[in-house]
Amino acid sequence: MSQRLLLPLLVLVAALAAWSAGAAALPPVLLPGPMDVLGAISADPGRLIGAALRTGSCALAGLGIGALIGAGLGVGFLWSRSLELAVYPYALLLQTLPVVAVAPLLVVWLGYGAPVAVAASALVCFFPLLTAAHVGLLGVDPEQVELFALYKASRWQELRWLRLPAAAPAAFAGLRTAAGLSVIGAIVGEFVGSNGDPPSIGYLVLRSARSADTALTFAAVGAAAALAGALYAAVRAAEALALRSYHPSQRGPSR
Amino acid sequence: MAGPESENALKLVDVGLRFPGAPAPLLDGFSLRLPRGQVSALVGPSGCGKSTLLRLLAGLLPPDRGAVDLAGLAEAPGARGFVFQAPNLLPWRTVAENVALPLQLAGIDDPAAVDAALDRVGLASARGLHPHALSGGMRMRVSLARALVTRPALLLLDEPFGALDAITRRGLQAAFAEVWSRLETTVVMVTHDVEEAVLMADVVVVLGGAPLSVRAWHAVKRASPRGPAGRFSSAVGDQVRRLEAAL
Repeated sequence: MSQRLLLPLLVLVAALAAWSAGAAALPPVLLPGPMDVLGAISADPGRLIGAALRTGSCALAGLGIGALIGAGLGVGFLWSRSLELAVYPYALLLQTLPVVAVAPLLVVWLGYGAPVAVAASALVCFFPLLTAAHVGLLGVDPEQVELFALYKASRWQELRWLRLPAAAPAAFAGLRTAAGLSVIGAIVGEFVGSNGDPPSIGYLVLRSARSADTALTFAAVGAAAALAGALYAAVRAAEALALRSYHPSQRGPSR
Repeated sequence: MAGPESENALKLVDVGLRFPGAPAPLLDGFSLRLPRGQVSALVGPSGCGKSTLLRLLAGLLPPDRGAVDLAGLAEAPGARGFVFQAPNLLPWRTVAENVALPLQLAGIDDPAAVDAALDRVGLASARGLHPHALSGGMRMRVSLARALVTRPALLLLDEPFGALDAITRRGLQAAFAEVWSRLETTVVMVTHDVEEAVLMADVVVVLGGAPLSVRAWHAVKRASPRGPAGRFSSAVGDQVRRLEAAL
C-alpha cells in the first residue's frame, strides 16, 4: 500500500483508538464512543440523511445566490468605476457583520424555515465570491484587451469571450472557499430559524445537545462535515472539468 | 515631412501625444509617411515610442492633436491586423478557435478562411491544439494567422521576433517574409534590430530622441528577396552600418 494511503489510515486508526479509550473512561453524555455514534446513525438513518439533504440544498442555494450577486456586482464594478466606488465600501461592511448576530434579524424578516438558512448562507458566501469575480475580471492581460479593442468588440463580446473565461480560475478559487462557508452559514441560519419541521442539521445539533443525546450531536456534526466536503469536492470536479484542457493548475508540470 | 510625396501613403501629420502624468510629450509635431503596399520597419532604441506609433496606426490610441491618415486603407474593423510582442493567444481556445476570433467578433462564421490562414503559416496540423502545447515560434505563427484571417489591408507588427532564440527567430523571419511576398498587404513592423529591419523591410525608418523624431528614412536596396537569407550580403552589411550610425 502506498504511503499516501497508509499514513492517513494509521492516523485514523490511532484517533479511533484514542477516542474509544477516552469514551470508555467518560460518561457517554460527555463523550460517546464510535459505536454509540454508529448506533445513533443507524437508529434513524433516514432522518439524518433527510436533514443533510435539507441543509445541503439550503447551502447550495445560498452559494448560488451569493455567486450570482457576487458575479453580477463584479461585472457592474468592471463596467462602472462609479458603481465600484459607491458600493464596494458597503460590501466590505457587510462582510464584517457576524452572521450569528444577523441571523435573528433574518428570522424577523423572513420567518422560520429554509429562507433564513439560505439567506445566512448567501450572506457569508457573497464577499469571497465578489472578491474573486472582481480580481478575475479585472486581472486580464492588457494586450488581450487591446486585441478585442482592435476588432471593435462590444463590451458583451469582451465579457463573454475574454473576461469571463479569464476570470474562471479565480472564480473557482472563490467558490472553493465559499463552498465550506456556505454550510456554516446554512447551519447558523438553522440554529435560529429552524423549527424542526422538517429537521435540518442545525436543528438536530441543537436539539440533541439540549436533550443530552451527544451521540446524535456527533453524528449530525459528522454529517455537516461530510456535506462541506462533498460541496468542496463538487466544486473541484467542476473546476477540473472546466479548466482541464488549458490551465496549468490542472495540467501538472509545464513543458 | 520624412517619406515619399505620394497620395498613396500612410501619413502621420503633426501628431502630438503626451501620456497622463508624463513630464514631457512623447510626440510633438511628429510627421511621417510610409509607402502603401510595401513593408516598412520602424527602428529605434527601447522605450523611444515606436510601439506607440504602431498603436496610433492601429487606432488603439487617439493622438492629442494632429492626424493619422491611412489613405482610406483600413477603416472597417478587421482591415487592420496586429501582431503583438507576445503571441497574446487565449489559452482556453484551440489554435483554430484563436485564429477564428477576429471573424467571430465580426459575426462571421468562415471555417475556410481559418483553414487558409493556418495553411499560410504552416500550422494546419496544429488546429486542434491548445497554445500551451506549442513552441514559442509556433505561437507567433498562430498570432500571425489570426492577424491575417480577416485579410487586412494593413498589417502591424510590434517586435514579433523579439522574445525568440536566434534559430527560431530566423525560421520565423523566413516564414513571415514568405507570407508577405504572397500578400498585397501594407506592413508596418517595429523592431529594435537594424539588421532585421534591413532584411525584412522595403523602407527602414530610424527613430529616436525625445520628443520622438525621424533620424533617417531609407529605401532598402536589395539583390535577394526579403528574409534572413540575405544577411551575409555585403550590400546589406553596408546599409546596416549606415543606419546604425543614425541610431
